[in-house]
Amino acid sequence: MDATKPLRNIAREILSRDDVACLIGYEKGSYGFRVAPCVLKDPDQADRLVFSPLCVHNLTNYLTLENIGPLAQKDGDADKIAIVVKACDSRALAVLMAEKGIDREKVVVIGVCSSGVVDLKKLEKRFPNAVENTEVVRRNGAFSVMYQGETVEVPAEELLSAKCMRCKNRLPVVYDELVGEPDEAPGDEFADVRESEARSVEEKFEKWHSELEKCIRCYACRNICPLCYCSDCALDRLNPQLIRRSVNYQENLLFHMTRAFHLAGRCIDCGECERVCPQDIPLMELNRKLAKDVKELYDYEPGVDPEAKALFATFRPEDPDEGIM
Amino acid sequence: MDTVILHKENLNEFLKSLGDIRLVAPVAENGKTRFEVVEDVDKAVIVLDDYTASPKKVMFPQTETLFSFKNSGAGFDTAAGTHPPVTVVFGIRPCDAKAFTVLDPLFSQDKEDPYYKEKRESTILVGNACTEPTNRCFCPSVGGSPGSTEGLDVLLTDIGDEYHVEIVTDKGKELLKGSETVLLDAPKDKRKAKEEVVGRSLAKIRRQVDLKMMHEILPGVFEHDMWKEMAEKCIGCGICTYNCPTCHCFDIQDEGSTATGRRIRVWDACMYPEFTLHASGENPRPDRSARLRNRMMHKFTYYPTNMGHIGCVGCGRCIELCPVNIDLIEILTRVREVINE
Amino acid sequence: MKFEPTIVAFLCNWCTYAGADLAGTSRFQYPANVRIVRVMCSSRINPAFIVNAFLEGADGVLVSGCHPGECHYINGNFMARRRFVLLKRFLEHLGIHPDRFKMSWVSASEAGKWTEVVKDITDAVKILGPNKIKREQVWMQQSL
Repeated sequence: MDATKPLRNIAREILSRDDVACLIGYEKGSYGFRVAPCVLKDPDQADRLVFSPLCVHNLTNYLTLENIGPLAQKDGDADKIAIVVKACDSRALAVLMAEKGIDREKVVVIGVCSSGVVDLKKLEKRFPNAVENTEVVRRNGAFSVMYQGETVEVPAEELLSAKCMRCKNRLPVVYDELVGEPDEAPGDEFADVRESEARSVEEKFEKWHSELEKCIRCYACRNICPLCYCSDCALDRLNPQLIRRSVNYQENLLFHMTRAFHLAGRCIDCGECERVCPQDIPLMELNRKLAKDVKELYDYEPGVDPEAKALFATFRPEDPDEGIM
Repeated sequence: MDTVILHKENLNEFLKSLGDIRLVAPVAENGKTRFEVVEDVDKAVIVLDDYTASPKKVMFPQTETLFSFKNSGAGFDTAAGTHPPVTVVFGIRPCDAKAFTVLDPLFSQDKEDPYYKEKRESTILVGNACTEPTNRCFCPSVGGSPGSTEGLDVLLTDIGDEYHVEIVTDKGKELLKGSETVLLDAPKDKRKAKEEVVGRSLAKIRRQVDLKMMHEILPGVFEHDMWKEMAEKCIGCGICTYNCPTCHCFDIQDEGSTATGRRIRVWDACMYPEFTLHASGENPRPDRSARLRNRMMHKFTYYPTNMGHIGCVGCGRCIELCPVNIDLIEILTRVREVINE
Repeated sequence: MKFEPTIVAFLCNWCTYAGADLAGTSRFQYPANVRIVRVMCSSRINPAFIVNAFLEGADGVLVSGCHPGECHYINGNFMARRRFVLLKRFLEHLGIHPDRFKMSWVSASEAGKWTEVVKDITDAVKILGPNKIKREQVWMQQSL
């Protein structure tokens, strides 16, 4: 089912409303398989919108970014922002609402049921150096990839993003409009986390030592995360200073540990951090380990209830005393 | 310039024949290619067909000790940062080598940068011509080429079973003195082979941008709304800056304690919101559109005007790695559209 | 020379700190490897303090507070418990041996328990050796 047409129709309607200032969606990118986020202001721009398995970005990030966020956007009486979200993206909305990071009344949510997005790195490795005339469409169990004048059918699991292969729910958790119907999600057993948990402490150390040595502290992971939106981030404050500005394993360890821990009980597994990392560091492994433990220890799952209380703001007297002397 | 031939199977021997010199080359490490020091040529996995690694850090490290200090009780004793040994960078691409030429005037203004200068003078660049440009490359648009020798001391071009080796500078000639056994005379037909290879590479480069008079055009669109539109998706990270071979902004910080420590220079990025944040709270580039506009104008107006080079070598890393598809080719094309309107 | 680990201990003022003090006045013997940082409540402790302690050279870190239900501020230790049980698992995931970071509940009268806790962590960390994530206070680094 191609969501593009119904999405454009809904967008045209929403952009005609008096109370909506802009709409954040996806449009065709500048080359190859790229798709780019776009901010539309007028109904006649609605035809720029696309929706395909190439729409990997979590657009909810923009709600808390300067100049766009509901708090900053004003156009006379129009102060609402419309946004296109997939199910995974919508979970970020739920957490933001629960934390009062955004005002539910100020957002018009257009939920789109997606069967999954591609892993761009896998796609571009398989179909390298594409410049124009490209397209990716999902047809049942396969992706139809248009590349260099030909259309190639590829089994979905060969190109699907890892996060989609363990998707919990394909229906957005919060929406005002809905495009498409959700298909069955495979579910998440945290198999990848269990596998890495089985390794020895020494192996874990070696692995993360070599991964975190690669980090160049570009902060893309933090900036792309919809739930990292502190205006004064603890990770690069100088007064008080936690993390030094020198870039080496120790400081990188402190950065990633602290950031992952600040997302414990908040990270909704959209995987954007890992997608954007220019050094290919498997950042989701850190967040997913915490997510698994949070579920196991405290039966808590972020992003399902827009009114849930934060993980660390609550407790049960019978919380486990694991490892406590 | 002299041209010689190196048989591919002699590559390791060639590298070892360079003598007792620190060798830096692109090596495969944990799924990525990085420029690292090669201790053992035979054990290292040198990767010559992955163009993503940037050797900028050889001349301009991400974290560099300027000096260290120790409280002697009666003041501070300082010791200068370490001095790098003579180094050869092998496998550098023509665009990345050109980037050092672009950076040279910046680091040698009225007060020369001794840290850069020392490394620059003691480093020899042995390049590898590009046989497989990718969809992000656009070096011809900025006056470059996959087979350019600009900025290089030696250039290797893969012409099949051999490398076509051009000895560009005296520094390069000096470096290759010990390699006579593996560097053979080049017969006429082999000399021509390089041109064919470069011709094929040029044909693979499918993206271009018209930069005619761009340094004069850009100031004309300074106040235009297009910057707001182009920058709306920017997330303000440092990916473009840190991967760019000509970006050079830095911060200076002290680490340690009052007893002992060091002063370091670290990479910084003008795309970060705090880059121009004053202590008063005032920020001359308060939003992403101002910062993106500054980045474009710096590369294509200010730097050419002040330093005489376009501040871009067409490597395309910023385009490929930007998480939200901010594309300078798209931006500069739009600039020209706006001017023509 | 045998390895003598450095153990940094974050103790809550009302319970464990008082318990440690009692151990001192009672002249109980326990390893002198521990360096105590007094906080008003175990919930004051930011997980970043733990990691920072390791980076600054601590070979082992201990967090100790009041028994659940006895917190001077009613529920501070419940909050802390969530954080640190999770942190311990997470540290192990990154390759920091779980014996390096321990948590305990020691009340103001449990001087004996305090000495046991200190002996426990000191012995465990002695076996593990110096921590591998400390900041290299090496100022003259040749970097690439």
